[in-house]
Amino acid sequence: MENKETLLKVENLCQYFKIGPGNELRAVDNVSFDIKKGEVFGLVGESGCGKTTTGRSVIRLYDITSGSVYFKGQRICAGTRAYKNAIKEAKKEFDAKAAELKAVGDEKSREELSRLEKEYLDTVRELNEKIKSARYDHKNCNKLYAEEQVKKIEAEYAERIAAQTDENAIKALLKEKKEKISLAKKDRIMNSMQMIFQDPIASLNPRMTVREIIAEGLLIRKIKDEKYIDEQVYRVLDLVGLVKEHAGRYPHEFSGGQRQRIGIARAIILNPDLIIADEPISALDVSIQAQVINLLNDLRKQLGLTILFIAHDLSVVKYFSDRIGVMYYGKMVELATSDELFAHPLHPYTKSLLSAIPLPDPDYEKDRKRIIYNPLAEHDYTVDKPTMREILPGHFILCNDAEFEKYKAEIAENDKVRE
Amino acid sequence: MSKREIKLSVKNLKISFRTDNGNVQAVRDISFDLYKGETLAIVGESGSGKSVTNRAVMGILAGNAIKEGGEIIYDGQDLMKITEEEFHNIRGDKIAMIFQDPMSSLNPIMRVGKQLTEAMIIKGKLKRKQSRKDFNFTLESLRSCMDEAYGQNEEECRINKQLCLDFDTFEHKHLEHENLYNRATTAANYALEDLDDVLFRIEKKSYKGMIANISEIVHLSSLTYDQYVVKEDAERLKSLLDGIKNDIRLSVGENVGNAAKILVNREPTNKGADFEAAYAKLSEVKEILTRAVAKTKPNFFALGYYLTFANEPLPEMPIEELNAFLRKYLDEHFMLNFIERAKKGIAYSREKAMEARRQVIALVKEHSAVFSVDSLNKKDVANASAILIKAVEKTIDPFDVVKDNLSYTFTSSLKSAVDQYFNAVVANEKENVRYSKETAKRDALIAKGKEPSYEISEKNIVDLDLLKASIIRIFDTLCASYEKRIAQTDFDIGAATVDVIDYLKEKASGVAYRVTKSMAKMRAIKLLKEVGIPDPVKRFSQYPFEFSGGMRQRIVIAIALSAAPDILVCDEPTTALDVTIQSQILELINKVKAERQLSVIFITHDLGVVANMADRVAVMYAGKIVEIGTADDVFYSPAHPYTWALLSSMPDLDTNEKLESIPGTPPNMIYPPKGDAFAERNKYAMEIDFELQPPMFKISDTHYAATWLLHPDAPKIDPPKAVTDRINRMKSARRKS
Repeated sequence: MENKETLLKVENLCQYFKIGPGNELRAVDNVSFDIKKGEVFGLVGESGCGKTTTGRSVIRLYDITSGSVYFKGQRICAGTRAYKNAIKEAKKEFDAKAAELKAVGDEKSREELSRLEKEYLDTVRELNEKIKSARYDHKNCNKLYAEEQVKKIEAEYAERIAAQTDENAIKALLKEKKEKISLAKKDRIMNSMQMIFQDPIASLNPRMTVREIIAEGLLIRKIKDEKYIDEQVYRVLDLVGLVKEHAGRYPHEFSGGQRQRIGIARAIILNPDLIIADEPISALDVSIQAQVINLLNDLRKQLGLTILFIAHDLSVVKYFSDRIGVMYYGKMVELATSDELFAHPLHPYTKSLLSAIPLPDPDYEKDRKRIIYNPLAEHDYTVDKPTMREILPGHFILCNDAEFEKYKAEIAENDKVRE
Repeated sequence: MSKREIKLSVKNLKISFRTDNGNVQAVRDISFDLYKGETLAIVGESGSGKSVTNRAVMGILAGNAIKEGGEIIYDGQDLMKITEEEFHNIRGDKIAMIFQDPMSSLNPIMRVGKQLTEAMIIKGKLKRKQSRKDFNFTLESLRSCMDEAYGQNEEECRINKQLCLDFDTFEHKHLEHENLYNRATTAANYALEDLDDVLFRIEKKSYKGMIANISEIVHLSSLTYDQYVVKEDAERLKSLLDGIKNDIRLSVGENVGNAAKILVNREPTNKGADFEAAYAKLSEVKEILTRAVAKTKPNFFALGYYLTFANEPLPEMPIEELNAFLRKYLDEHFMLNFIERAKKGIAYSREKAMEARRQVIALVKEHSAVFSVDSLNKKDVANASAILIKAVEKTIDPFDVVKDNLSYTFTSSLKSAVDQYFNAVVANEKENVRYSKETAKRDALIAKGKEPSYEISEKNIVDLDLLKASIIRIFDTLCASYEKRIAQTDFDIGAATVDVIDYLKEKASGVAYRVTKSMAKMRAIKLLKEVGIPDPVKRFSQYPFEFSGGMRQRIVIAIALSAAPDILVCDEPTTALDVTIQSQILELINKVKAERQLSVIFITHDLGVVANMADRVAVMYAGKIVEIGTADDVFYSPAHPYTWALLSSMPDLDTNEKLESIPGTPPNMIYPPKGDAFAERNKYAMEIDFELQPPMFKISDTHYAATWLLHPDAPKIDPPKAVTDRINRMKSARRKS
């Protein structure tokens, strides 16, 4: 797992919403995680904890407030709030010191003042640079990506053309190259990130046939070759377990599970690397849920997909994901591999969440004791603010110093019990 | 099992829907009983008819629904046949429902608080009227029975009348006091809960929204001034509360509720020094209230009698002694005498009802000839049924606490069966005429040498014999149940009398219980808190759109619970919620169920939820119940392939292998399959499954399943490995713990 390259990297992601004058809702607050190529990353938490917002911020449905998201090594979205705040802080600090020094007023302090001023201006300049680059990256990620792709193709063909001697072959290669470049110019990095929505009824346009719905992504990419489009549509229909004949029908003619299959087909037609699945099975019947999970599992193996899986059904998340992040009120509180998280939950919120899972076992259910999480009673963050720390390899937890020690002791005890 | 009281009984229910493409058969012949205080879970895919069944129970079927047959019996009434007017008294009040989509059951332009309290206040008024009526009726019939038991002796009648009058008078005195006491203790209990929270938060220095909480405590504590609750500490409590008001600068006078609303958003000015100052006082208030709550409850029933008739002041003594004293006083002066007489009255009325039953049996025998002739005579039948209906009405004993469903529904079921018969006679005639006409026409065409391009549709004749048999079956069941009752000898008059007096008490409490606006608000806020809505005082005056999905669902549950229903129908109440809130809501429903002896019908497709909630589970597929049993039966020894498939298609925390999904989709119910509806998706289907519908096979007393696999001739098939593995895992886990 460690050797695999990182596909998506989220750094200090913050997404605030304005809810009235001077009031902000911190939907996602300082969340960091990364997703390796080919893995399924589960995001769980109760409703309103910001897991869907995280997914939507990553796919750029919102302009994020602060932090950055790197996809395939390129920054695709970036916010500026943190830098702006840093400028404000620096100014405040400088002003306070300046006032102090001015009050003294002798030669030495004047020198000191000019040194400080220079320092301060440097910091501001640096931060302004960062803001500028963040804004540029945020705006131009697709352009940058396309340029890079074009460069790659040019380099590749330059080599191949140099190796060729036959004039006709060179001509053919040149033509091929031209076509590829014209496609690559329209290529967007966001194409390789697709989303599956929760409600299969609401997310399909009732006035479009299945073929139109699935092919829409290709059309937006300016592919006009009908034959090619048909080929692609039939290919993905086959992949998701539907048949050619379904292409001419309208969404209302399908059952819930089939509609979700159409949603999945639409997501995979552009051969994405990352799929953001926002509660794809919550709106389905149990018997159909299993079909869809099996389908996603098969596709993942066949196409090498990476999936960000957002759900609140913990049994399904456990079954489907490699690693799981637990969110609580906009913050990531615990992150670990799924087996580790379920075997040794450390954060009290995770424990409370796990204790709430209903299982099809009447006897177990009768004595199930739900752990109630009250953040006020559990944590004392008045002095020492919590940060995300790695307590075991691959197991992160949001805690402060005192809690870190406490959790360590808990791990030691767990180990003892296991022995 | 048979001892338990049946609350709701569904028999052979059939419902279909008229659509453009034909009739969709949504529910095909299902029957189940719901016992008092149990949860019956109905599990199935969407479209299996589980919601339709329960909409029929609630009487809210869509306009294109056809009630093809069956009975839903609740409290002596057949809900399939009563009028909309009568249903008004039942729906929401006796049978409440929680819907899947919370937004559809909330009014978007009304504040949440109003929606919660509105029904409480209106129903409160109606309930008082109804209780008054019931109380008067029962007491009156008790008096007349007592009179008759004493042979209409004038002197005895006078005593009876006086006793009943006395009962009526002091009963109301009793309730007045008890209500005051209850209000005070509930307020104290509520205040104590709030106090714990507030004290904790002062310790933790988290002051957000505290002013509202403290003013709520002050308000609640001021409601506890009652001579039986905080008698000794009343003065001290008053001064403490005034002190707290000063500390927090609550400019609240009488109307605390409104002031709290304004103050909610105000934050403390000097960062909590106010609260620190109030801390000691709040702790002392807590002490006083804890002491008050721990006190023994006085016997208000006896107290009411003493206060009304003794003409002496109440003796000063501790509550325990006082209770004993009052009890003795009541027994000596009134109760023993009253019970003695009531016993006689009730025994007499029972004897009368039994006699009436014997008479009915005789009458049925006498008139059975009218119903068993080849073709029934309309006039004779009408006469005979009129006589029988009159006789059956006489068998209704007003003191039966558990009503005799058969007597109550006799009229409607007999009438509808007879109507069905005579309607069929007319229809059959018409059909015969049509058929002969069309055949003649076709024959004429053929005689002319033409080839007719159409076929004549088959005769659609209703089997009159079957209808007649169904009429006779009504009599048979009635007589059988009567004979059983007559043969029953272990009747405890004493217990029955106590039951009747309890019933009277309950009704009287309904009369004295007045729901005022402030009480409704107090209860509403309590309910909001109970369903886990933080900051209920503020939330009380918000609109539904200001709430998230989970919060909305909680409000809907609070509204359903506020009516204190008999039966609660939950139609996938937690499907839209996440796990933590889901388990909170399930715990809430379980708690309320245990407290109020509620019967719950719980519809869901999540088997995990079912395991938590259900006492019994019914699995539905394509409009039929395919398996029914206790939760242990269905989860530990499932018998139907569909149940196996459901169990193996959901992952649990230990599942690693590929999930077993059910292939295909449910059948089209416009053309329901001929054999077992699940056969096409069933790995274990046999040839007979495509030919014949399997009957319900009995596995144990509580466990039934409809699959041919249980037939003695069928091959023995074990459940799939995923299911057996899981059951073994669960069993071993149980052994470990």
